[in-house]
Amino acid sequence: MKNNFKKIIILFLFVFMFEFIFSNIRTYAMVNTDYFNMEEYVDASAPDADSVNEEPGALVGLISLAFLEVGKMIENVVSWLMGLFGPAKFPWADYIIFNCVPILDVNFINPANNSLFGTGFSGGSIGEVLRNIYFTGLSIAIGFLGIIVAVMAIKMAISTIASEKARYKEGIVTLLTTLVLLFGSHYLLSFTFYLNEKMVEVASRIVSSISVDSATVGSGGVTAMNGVVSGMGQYFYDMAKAQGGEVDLLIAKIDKAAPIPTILYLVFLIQSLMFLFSYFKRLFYVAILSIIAPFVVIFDFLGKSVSL
Amino acid sequence: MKKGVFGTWFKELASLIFTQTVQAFLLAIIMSIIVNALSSSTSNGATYGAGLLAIIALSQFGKIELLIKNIFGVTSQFGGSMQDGMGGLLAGAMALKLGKNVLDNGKKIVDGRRQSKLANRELTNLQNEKKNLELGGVADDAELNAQNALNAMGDTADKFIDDAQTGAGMAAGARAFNGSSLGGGVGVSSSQIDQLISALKEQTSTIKSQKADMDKKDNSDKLNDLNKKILEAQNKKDAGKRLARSGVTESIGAAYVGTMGAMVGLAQGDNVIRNAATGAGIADRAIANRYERSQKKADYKTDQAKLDIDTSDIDKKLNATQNRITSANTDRIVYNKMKKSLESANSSGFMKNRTSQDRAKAVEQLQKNIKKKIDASNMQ
Repeated sequence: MKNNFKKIIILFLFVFMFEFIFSNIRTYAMVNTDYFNMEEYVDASAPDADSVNEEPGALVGLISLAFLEVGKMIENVVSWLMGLFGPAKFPWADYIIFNCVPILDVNFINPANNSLFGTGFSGGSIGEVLRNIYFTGLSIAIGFLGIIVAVMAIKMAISTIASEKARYKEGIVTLLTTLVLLFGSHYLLSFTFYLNEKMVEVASRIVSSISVDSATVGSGGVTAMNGVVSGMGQYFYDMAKAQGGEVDLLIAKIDKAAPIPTILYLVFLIQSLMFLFSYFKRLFYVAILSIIAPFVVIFDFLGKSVSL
Repeated sequence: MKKGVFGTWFKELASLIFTQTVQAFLLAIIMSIIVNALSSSTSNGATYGAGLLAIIALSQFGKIELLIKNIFGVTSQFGGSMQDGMGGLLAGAMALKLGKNVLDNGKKIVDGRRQSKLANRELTNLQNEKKNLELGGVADDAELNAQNALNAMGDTADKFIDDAQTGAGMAAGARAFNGSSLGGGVGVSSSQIDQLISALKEQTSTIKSQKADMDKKDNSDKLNDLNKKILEAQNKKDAGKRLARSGVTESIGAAYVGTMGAMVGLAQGDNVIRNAATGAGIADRAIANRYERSQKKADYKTDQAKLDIDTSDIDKKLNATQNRITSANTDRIVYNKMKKSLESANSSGFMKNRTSQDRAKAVEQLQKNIKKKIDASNMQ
């Protein structure tokens, strides 16, 4: 029963292997554009200045403004940097998590157009280099295994002792399994990327559906609907400005900022930057792990068949 | 060869990739909670509350993610959670150490102001002392200084005076020689001898004046010392001001970056106070370093200015000594030659054995030589 299952799996992977060889599959790769293109935070839902209860003092207001503008500057700079690789939007935490930021797309085998590995960035040179390394590694691994299979087949053919023949036969089966795994690992990678993308899409659709269903809630609610963090970040920025009022400095009137929304805005901003940093790290790790996949299979085979 | 390489590789890869899936579903759950929180009220308070809720929830992503991974046994060695992203920055011990620096800012301000005041008082005293010295000191002590200078010149001065006296004596001899029967008709006129004597006196006067300049040496040293002390006091005053300024700037910087640190702590769901202390400490240290560098620069400049004073003084002394040596050498040569010429004219039979015309030529030549030498001497 166990052997039959193994055979079915191997057969299945063989089919995948031939599909890989004879077709040019480029599927599964995409960033989550649905969530990214959701309706933006609407100005009509901005906090009403009339609802301001307490204006901050001049000093507090000005200090808050300094923090707020530094935050906004960081937001603009990061947005500009993002614009080099895709849409010039700040990568708020929800955009990152819901796979909306092209530069963080880890799928280098089938990259989205605007991802780091896609054609949108530097004409796709980085992705091309990575893919070349990956496919070169794959070719070397296939060649290596092919040679070993040939050597073992010859040994088995010329061997006259039954026990040795059995050992070589077992070895060839292991080798063939490894060969299948080698091609299978490529599909495994693609499938893992695909599965992740789809799951993330499902999660983002939950958010989108809540957004549509809850359109009748209060102004703050509507804002939050349009992306939890992206909407809230922008919302609190506007709120800080709207509630800040002005301070007359004799020469000119200067805007103040309300301290609480400022802090909330900055915390959202910092959180998003942390997610960005974390996902960049993830991108790097995944790229390296993906590239070494063919060698991992070879080393796995060597670990199994040292005695052969 | 290690077994199960493929399994380990796939576990790590899956852990990293599916981090996003876990976080996406967590975010969707948080979204639902926030929607519920916001739908009941539109007030600012409710919005703030929802914002804070989102912040706290997002800050716990890393921990929840690790928990889920642990449950399913797919914990990655690389991490990949937000907690790992910036965690290393905020080590507790570092935060404590850095935070301590902020506490000494008040002391810095007080100490700086006190130091500046004391240095300012010292500076005023020194400047008054300098003023007094420049105005009255030289005049009052001129006589004493002149005497001191004569002593200071020592052997050199004595030699000058000896030489001058010798020259004057010889000149007087020449006048006698001119009036005697032996010198009759030699042609060294009385006015020329007077001229020689006058030149010699002038030389003596110049030497004495140079000696008097030497008298000022004592005052000049005092003045240099005072100038150096003034520079030090000025530097001390500036250092005090700088210290106080550093305290104020560090406090402002620490407050600013400390607040940012607190926000990072809030965003990360980590210890807010520790992060605030780290931020404040980093800002404090950075600003303090800047002020320390600036103080070192000022110290260096003060040392340089003091060295300039010393160098200038040494240069002056060197020049004066060289001038005196040159002048003394020239005078000695002139007087020796004059002496030899007059002696040879007196003692040898040169004058006797020559015709009156030859003698007149010889004396004329001698006079020319003497005049040239006196002129050369006066040029020094």
